[in-house]
Amino acid sequence: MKKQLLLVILLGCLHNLFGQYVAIKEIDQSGNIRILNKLREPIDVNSQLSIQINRNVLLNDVGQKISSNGDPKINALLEILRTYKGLIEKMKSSIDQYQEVFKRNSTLEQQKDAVRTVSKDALAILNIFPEDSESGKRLEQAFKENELKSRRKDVFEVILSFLIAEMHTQEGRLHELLKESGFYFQLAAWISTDQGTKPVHLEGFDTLTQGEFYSYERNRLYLSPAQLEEFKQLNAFFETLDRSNAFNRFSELLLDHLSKVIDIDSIQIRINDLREEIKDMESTAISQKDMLIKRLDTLVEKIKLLDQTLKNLKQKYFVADGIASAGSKLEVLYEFEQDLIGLKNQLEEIGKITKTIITPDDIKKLGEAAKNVEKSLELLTSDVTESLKRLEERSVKAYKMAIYGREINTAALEVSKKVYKLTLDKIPESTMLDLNFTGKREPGDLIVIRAMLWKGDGKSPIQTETHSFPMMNALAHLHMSVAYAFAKPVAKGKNFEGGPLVSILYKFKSHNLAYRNFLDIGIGLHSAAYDFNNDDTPEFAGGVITSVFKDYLQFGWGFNFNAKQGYWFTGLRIPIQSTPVSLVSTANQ
Amino acid sequence: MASKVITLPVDDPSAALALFQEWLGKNKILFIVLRDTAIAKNTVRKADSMAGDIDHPLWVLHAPNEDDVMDILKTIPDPKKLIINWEKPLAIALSMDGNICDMIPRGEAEPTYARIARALVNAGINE
Repeated sequence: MKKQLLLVILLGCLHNLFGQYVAIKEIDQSGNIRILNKLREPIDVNSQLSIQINRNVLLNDVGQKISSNGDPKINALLEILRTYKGLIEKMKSSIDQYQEVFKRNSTLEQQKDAVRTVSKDALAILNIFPEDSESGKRLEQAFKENELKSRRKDVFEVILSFLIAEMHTQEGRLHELLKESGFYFQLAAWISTDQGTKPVHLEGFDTLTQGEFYSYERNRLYLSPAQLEEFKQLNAFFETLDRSNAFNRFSELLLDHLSKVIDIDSIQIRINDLREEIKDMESTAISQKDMLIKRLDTLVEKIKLLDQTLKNLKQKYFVADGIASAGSKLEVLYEFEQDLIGLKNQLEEIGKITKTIITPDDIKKLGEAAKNVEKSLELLTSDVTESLKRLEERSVKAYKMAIYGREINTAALEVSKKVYKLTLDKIPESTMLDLNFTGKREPGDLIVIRAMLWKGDGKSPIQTETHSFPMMNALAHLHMSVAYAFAKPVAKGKNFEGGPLVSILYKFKSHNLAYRNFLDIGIGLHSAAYDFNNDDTPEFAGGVITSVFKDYLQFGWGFNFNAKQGYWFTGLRIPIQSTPVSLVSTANQ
Repeated sequence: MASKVITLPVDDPSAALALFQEWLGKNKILFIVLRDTAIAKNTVRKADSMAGDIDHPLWVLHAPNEDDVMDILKTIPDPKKLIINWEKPLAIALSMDGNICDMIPRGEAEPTYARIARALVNAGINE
């Protein structure tokens, strides 16, 4: 069995957390500290990251890699250090116990036990250093020096101190050998935003320039231009609406949007045209023509199924009762992801079928006319592929980003030439990354930190550890929202009255991306303009409000100061085409 | 740091004997150095340097006139049979139970610190 050789550094070294090269903590703006255990974990957009290097893990890896190459000098040193570490740990523990026993009132038996234990451990160490050896002479010198001190140690403490000093000496020898064997270490960081990915400075590990100071504005107590536009659109949309038809109109709108991602009509038209083309084809291969039509009919069935799936999605997610009655909103959303994936699978299946409708054998038998059919099929395949691409890009990826944060190919990140290649004895113990100096950034952007162990001139590191941190507005904050509200005056006999609503909401602290991007509960105050008395003069109203689903659904209570009536209300933000949609981006449409 | 050496009086044999017997009954690790030679004095000094704090059990006992305490010395239990001739020992190490656990013989050279440390450690183990 191959020997497992472990490398030990000093006692009291940094605690080896989870066997990782780096141990990272987040210090947020309120001063709270979170230990970041996972390789991917959301952090607040304005936090600082404290990065400690676990040198013993690093050297352990190096030691194992060297020992697996069978270098005898290093193997011997590693064995010595392993032995020393074991003895030091035992001796330290028994000295502590020995000193403790003689400080407090203990029995004679307890005292004898403590003395016996520490003496045995001391003898084990003395036996390693024969008197006539070099190390024996160093031990003798250690005792001599102890005598000259004003605060002298007892025999056990001298032996322990000597062994620790010997371990330092052997470590130094090991560092020299490791240096010769050409191992070195790099620590690099990047930030990924909408503007692209760029390296960021880590003190002690590179010569990159620190970024400009930029603190993300956490509390937004004003309406952005996009929100003002949304406000205008919401108002216009609802004012022209027959309110009894509001929810049908709303769900038609969403279905219309989803239809634009998957262009069912266009696909169906192409298939119909194709069918006609095949029927009209001049050819004596009647049975071949019939087979093509049969295959096409299979495709038609699949398209119908897809159409039905889209309509079912509308039923499931977009009618008012469906959203309101769902037990857990996050479960609804995760199920939505699965349904989108199901939709994608259906499209992929359709794409495969389109490619097999006409075969080379068919073209041989059907003649030249079949080539036009083949071209039409290619266009159909292309339509399906495009729909798939649109669906994936806008729905699934946008959804994943909302839950998991920005995804980038971290393996492809290039290490800047300004990042130091450090020999193992020169690695700083720690460094700090202040996000406020990484430049302009938004929630959803990503920080990547990578630790790399290299050997010699190798093209790629022999060991890599990558940590990714999606950024979010994690701390509690205030922000403003707009919606269109349907208010029900508390007086009996009164119907719903609609009107625009602006609210200022308190959002709770959360480091959960899925929560922040989908649920994001808010509580606060609102003001609105209604017309309870239907005199075409807006009335001022205000009250309390709760919002869920990232403010897309709001409800609360208020008081109409002009009409002097209280009311309950439900408010909606509608994903109108020109306004940002949290689940599906329309940016490229 | 306080010295942890008990030197038996040279001018009063009965006092020396009484003190010696008193310390034998204290359940300490005793490093007993015999005679008053330069080597003996240096051995006492070296042992004292590693005896530790006052509340720790390691103590050094110097008997400059070994004849004053020889009768008692011969009665100390010697389970390992380290002493055949009481002319030989320069120093002996007693465990907390009062057993002889190590013996440093008289010789030309002064015992090293490491040798004295080993004697103290053997007395602590008491096997």
